[in-house]
Amino acid sequence: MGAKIDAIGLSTPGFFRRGSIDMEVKAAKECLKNAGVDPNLLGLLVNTGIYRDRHIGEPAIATLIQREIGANEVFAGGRSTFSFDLTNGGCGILTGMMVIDGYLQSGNIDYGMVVTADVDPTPGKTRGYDFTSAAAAVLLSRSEQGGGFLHYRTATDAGFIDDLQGRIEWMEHRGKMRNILVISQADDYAGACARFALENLDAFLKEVSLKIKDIDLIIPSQSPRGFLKELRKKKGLEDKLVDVTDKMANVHTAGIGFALERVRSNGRFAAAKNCVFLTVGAGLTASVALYRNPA
Amino acid sequence: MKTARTKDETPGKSPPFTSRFESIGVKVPDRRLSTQELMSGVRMWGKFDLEGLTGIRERRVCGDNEDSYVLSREAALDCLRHSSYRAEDLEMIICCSISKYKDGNAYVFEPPLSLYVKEAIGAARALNFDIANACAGMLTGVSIMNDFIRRGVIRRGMVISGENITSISRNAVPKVKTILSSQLASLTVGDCGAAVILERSPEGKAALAVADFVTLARYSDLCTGWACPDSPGAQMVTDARKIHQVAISDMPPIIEKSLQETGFSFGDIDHIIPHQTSMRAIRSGDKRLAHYFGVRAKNIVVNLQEFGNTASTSHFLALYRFLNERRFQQGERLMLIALASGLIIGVVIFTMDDLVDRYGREN
Repeated sequence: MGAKIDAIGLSTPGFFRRGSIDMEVKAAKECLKNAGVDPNLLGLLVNTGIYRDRHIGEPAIATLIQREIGANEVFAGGRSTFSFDLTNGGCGILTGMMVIDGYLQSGNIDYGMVVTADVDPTPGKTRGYDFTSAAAAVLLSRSEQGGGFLHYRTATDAGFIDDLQGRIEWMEHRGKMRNILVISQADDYAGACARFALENLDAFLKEVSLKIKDIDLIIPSQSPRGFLKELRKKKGLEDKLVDVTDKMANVHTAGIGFALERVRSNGRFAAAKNCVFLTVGAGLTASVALYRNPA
Repeated sequence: MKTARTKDETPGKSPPFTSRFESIGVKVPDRRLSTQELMSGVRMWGKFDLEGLTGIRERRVCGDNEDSYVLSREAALDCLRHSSYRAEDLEMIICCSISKYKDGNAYVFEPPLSLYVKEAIGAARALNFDIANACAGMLTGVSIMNDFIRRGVIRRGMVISGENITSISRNAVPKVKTILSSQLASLTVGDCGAAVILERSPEGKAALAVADFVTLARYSDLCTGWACPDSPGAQMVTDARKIHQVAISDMPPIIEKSLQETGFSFGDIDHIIPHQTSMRAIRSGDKRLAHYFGVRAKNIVVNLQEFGNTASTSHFLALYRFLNERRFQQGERLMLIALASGLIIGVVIFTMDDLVDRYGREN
């Protein structure tokens, strides 16, 4: 029995809501509201967003979100919330869910939430930033009826370690030296991601003794651009892949949340027996997970 | 790396295994910067004795070819030298530094720093990811890895941090004008790398008794660090007085809860290693704990005179040094206390075992 998904919350930029933290707070509040769960029941809050307001490195962004959603802001001797940030490129949200899953299984917490967002923190200064600003939150709890997340696989291939890089460089900008966010991507990065993702999907299916025909849904990363198109070339995957790039193209770490919400709202997720999460990130890193809806 | 559930794993019940610290490694830069040298660049109103206030005589700062990645890598290699494991035995690597500089001044967001370190040391099997939780980073990593080991998902892994954090000091120097400056605390930090291998405890060996953490998010904005707009590196602003007050007042009940979970009393703890902020803060924490528990701590480990506040590495730097100086005995109980921006208060309690045999032989 693994962690089950209780609710999802999403957020996109609004007139007064441009920052990563504001969007994450909105997504987190919506997620808790959708689940009907009191924020004080949250035992763990993990932020997996990469590109954030002002490039804040301290405190963990998750602690700022925890305060805004009002989850155990002070210690009163009983329940408490623990917050931290976790990054693993485009796979971070799935890694975050795996960590929360573990804490749920250990019995340390009753609810955990992963929250993620990416924004261009300094529009006009940044080089190569092409991700769509968006935030997502996913609430997890322990499944008592079986199902939930059942198996994970993560692999890296450092032969492509330089193919996507996001870093702050000290460089000249309009005649002055500044800290500038630079994102660089190799030409065939999407193709490399797709090949590595498919390679690991095959290995994963062998590990769980399933065939591709047994999989009802594949919820993949929604970035980089062209990744889903490459995946679709693989025979037998087309109908299973959830693709929201028609409305939300190139959403980075929050893409999984948008794909998940699409199939939850149209009933496909509830109808699916075997659902596979398939994420890719810089490194290359591929993370795969099997999810079954609780009985 | 596969992470399937084990058969022993029963949700909500006590996990089947325990974990322990198998080895510790450290990398401190060679370059030293005394508080006197650092303060010679500060133009303040009136007299101010930073060394007298904090107890920090000097700190280490990265040289030309050192950064977070290099400190992490070298600490990881040192950790492996003290370990019975090889890099390829590691199943998980978590990098936990606040600072993630590579190639000098470049702050890396992706790929994660943990992947670079994993590749450099040859830990091909390890699942890797980065976490950040201010100065509680390494102990947060310990808490996460402890959970994976206890459930039987992995047998061993390495928690690493490379803090190349003294750019906040450098950037504070021209901005600190009075004792009330919001960047005054930035002058206390030092660079350091640290790594620790956690493993499943062998039968009959000591284990981590507790790794509990609480975030008091009401105070999350009392200390904030971000990329400096006009200088290389970062800057940090702190409401030092408030964060100190809150940490000191809220720490004892959280420690008490952790002690209750383990069945220990405060008097059972032989050594306390607090986060190394300043001598004054450590002393007032000591007094507060003595008042709350009605008994004085047997020993508070202080290691900041020569290294300053090395952020997320401070506990393991202190452990490493005291192990090498043979200041711990087998069977003694240690408590590591995390106090970090967020505000994070966390406690790790463990009993010293044969770890002591692998350090300080040259002494």
